[in-house]
Amino acid sequence: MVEDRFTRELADLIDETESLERDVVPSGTSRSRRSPQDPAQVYSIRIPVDRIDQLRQAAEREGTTASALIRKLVVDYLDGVPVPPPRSATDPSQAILDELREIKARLPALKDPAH
Amino acid sequence: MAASRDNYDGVPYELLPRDSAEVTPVSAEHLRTRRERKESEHEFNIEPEWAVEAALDPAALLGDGGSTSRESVLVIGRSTSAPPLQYGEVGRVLAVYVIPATHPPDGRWFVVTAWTAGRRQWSAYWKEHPDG
Repeated sequence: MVEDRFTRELADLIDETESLERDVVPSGTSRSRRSPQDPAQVYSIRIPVDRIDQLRQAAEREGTTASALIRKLVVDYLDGVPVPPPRSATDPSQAILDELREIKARLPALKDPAH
Repeated sequence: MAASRDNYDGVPYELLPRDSAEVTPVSAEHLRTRRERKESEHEFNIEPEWAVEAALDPAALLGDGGSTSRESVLVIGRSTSAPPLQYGEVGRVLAVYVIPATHPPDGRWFVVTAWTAGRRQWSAYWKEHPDG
């Protein structure tokens, strides 16, 4: 498996790097002139296998990917944004209800453009 | 071959994209157990988050990691979350070795290992630092 090979190579590299002289500033070292764009740490999380399909479907309904949905849910949680209940895959009326709520929220602006 | 004296895959070190860094479980275990592995109380166990923060430090120094495989890049960067080495300092300067997810690097990196920067690395980091 590619992952196993990567893990082995990484372990070898760790051992090799460990033996390098520690306090070195190699010639040619330079200060970064390119700031990270939206810097991010990658977390590995374990999702129960029997929920993966459900996660993929939920992401599809939201028009996004599974990892983007996970990221959004975590960031919203940290921001204190209430997490809406997931759209039901089996109940199409939920989508209609969502649409109606959205229209209702926009009604004041529609009635009075200056609102 | 990827790493050379002043560029990586033809990209000057100062222009290498760094947008995300991942610590695999193997590396995380390695970082967190430095003191135990080295059996030295002078060693400092590093949380993966600190290594990532240093690896993505906008003001980091980047250079040839010096590994035989020519794969690694040495990043001398600061983690502001890591406990300081000396009183009055904010965070800690770390030497982090990373390898890219792709060639040429597209901004995604894997952390190989990290340790507290030595005196020379620390001085190089703070010399002409943008915040200084």
